[in-house]
Amino acid sequence: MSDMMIRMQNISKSYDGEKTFVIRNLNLEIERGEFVALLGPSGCGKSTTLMMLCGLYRPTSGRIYFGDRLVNDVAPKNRNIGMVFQSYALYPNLSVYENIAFPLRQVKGVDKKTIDRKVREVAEIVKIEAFLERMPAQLSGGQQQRVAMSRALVKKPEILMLDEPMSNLDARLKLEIRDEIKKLQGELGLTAIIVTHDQEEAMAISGKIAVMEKGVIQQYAKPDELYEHPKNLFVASFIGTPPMNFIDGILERQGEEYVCRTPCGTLRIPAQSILEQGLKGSKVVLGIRPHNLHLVGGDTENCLGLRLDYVEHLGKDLLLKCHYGEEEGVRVLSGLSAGVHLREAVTVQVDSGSINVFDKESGENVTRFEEVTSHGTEG
Amino acid sequence: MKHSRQGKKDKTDGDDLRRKLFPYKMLSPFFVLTGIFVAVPIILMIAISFSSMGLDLQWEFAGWSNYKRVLADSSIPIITLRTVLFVVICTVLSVLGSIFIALMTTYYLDIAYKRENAGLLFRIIWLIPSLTPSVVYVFIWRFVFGSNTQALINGVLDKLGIAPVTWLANYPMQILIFICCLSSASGSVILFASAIRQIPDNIIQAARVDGASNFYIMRKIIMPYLRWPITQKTLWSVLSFFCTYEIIMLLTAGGPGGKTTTFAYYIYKNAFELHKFGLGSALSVLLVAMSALIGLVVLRVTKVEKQLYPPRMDW
Ligand SMILES: Nc1ncnc2c1ncn2[C@@H]1O[C@H](COP(=O)(O)OP(=O)(O)OP(=O)(O)O)[C@@H](O)[C@H]1O
Ligand SMILES: [Mg+2]
Repeated sequence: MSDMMIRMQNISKSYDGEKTFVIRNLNLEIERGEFVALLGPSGCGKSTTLMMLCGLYRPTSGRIYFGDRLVNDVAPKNRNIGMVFQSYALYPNLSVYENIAFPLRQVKGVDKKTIDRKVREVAEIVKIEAFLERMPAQLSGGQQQRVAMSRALVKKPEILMLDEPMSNLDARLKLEIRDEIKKLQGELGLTAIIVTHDQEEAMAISGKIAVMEKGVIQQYAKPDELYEHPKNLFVASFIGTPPMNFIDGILERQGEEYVCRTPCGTLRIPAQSILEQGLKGSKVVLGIRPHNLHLVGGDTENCLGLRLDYVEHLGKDLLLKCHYGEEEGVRVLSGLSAGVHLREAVTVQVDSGSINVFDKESGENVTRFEEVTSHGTEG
Repeated sequence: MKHSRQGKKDKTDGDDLRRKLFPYKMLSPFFVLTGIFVAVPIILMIAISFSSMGLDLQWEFAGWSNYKRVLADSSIPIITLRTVLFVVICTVLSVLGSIFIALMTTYYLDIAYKRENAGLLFRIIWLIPSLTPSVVYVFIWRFVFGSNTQALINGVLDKLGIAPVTWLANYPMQILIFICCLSSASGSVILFASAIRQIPDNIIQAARVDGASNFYIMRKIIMPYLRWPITQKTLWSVLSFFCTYEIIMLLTAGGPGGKTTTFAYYIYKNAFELHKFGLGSALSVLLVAMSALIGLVVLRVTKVEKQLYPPRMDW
């Protein structure tokens, strides 16, 4: 059933004759029609991975398949791909029309009429018919982005690759373009890969996300799974705004449950929800999302005592910035702020079952998840 | 109310004037230096051209006599024609040559085939002629093209059993053009190479993904980026080839039989060998007029005004 469009097998990449590796042993599989995001901080090798997929860079070792075809030695133009670059890379001395026609002009035996028809067709889809005669410098950032999209789509590629396509756009336009890209991808049945360092964008646009750090894929999963069950501390800290709270603790087994002592309170975690073999010692890091913390009046079960620093208005909700100990910050997402005062103590209750427990030493998530075991994890 | 508005308007007018004068204020060092080192010599030159100044350096008004002598000089038309040909051929060859070398090393070696060290090495070697002092440079070539069998080419020909050729006597102009072009192209490859380097990587990568061949990329993507350097280099070459005399002086001394005497060398000969400063100045005035004219033609042909950037600010 699996219809693999792209397979990267044990890909490594070094720019300096194998002294240092920018990508290490990367494995990635993308199904036909899937929308995958490569997500990670700056310099983690996202663009390098994409460049290898489009054929501009060669992997130092490993194999890349498109379908059943080994494409390691296939030139970019023969890979049937469309590419949108970060800075759009429009040809500055050619008009919008000529920019879009450029890929068609490289194919032998395409007559003028066909070129014209195809250019106008794609310009209409991307809504830039009105600008065809302009020069790229005379367009706004959003319009340039659309031209870059049309140029990538004009040859009707099977795979669309986007390298940070929206990083130069303002927040509003980002939302608009991102919806359009998603829509186009679905309508044209494209397999798409987007590179981004914006986790919100990745969560919104793609069906699957590969979270990368230092040239290694940390987790490759659906957005909700990344959010609910991050595989390790890196993924947990990278995914979600406001970010997940991390609280150091000492874990101790007491019969059918674990007791976790933290500087701001003691939490109880059922024994079956922790994978004991993952624990290297008793030191752990608890990961709790801000919306899983609730202000409560008195001290009840599973509570943490914090001190409120300030309140940030997010529109519908309030973000309470608190701390415990010296300066360890904890963010609480709350609907109301009644009864709390700045620089005073607050008590928050933790949703049971919402705690991710990470081994302090390895950084791995040691929480047991029902769905994960039935789905099987990748990478 | 009305009064205060009037006052404001006055102030704006003052600001306007100051604003208009500001660029000239900023450029004043340029005006001063240009005045001292360009305008004054030109005025002196024009003044001397109306005198009969000789080795005694006495300025004595001579009216149009120097110019009349130039007009009467039967060698002037042929020298002018030869100079124009020399300048045009040298300019075209050195511009095309340096673009070619820059594309080959910077685009092909550096960018397309990622042999950056080879490209760099070649460009450094290529730079040597323009860094060599002209005297040394010309004497190397005189050694190469010398007429006896001690010289390089004839020496090799001799070893191969071929009779020596008197290169400089038979092909003086060809050799002159060759070594002038080489020295000029040597210096300007850097100009084109750095213009090519400034093209964003993404643009060339995009063209590659779009399926463009190297030749197409050079023609359609890279060449437009070279328009400004080409204008610059052409203008510079025209003006400097018009004034080239030291290579001629050292290589052929204008010979044989005046075959390599260009306008600039003719001026040099009259003014500094025959010490006819008045006549030399009159010739110089004509040379300046001629090169200014051709310079303007170059600016017009390359549409230089379209390449200038519009102001970045309106302030
Ligand atoms: N052409 C190159 N030569 C040498 N090193 C390179 C080259 N391109 C990238 N690198 C290095 O490889 C690493 C990964 O770069 P890459 O461009 O893939 O990062 P990225 O994840 O796309 O980052 P960003 O979000 O900043 O674009 C970086 O450390 C970078 O310095
Ligand atoms: Mg990048």
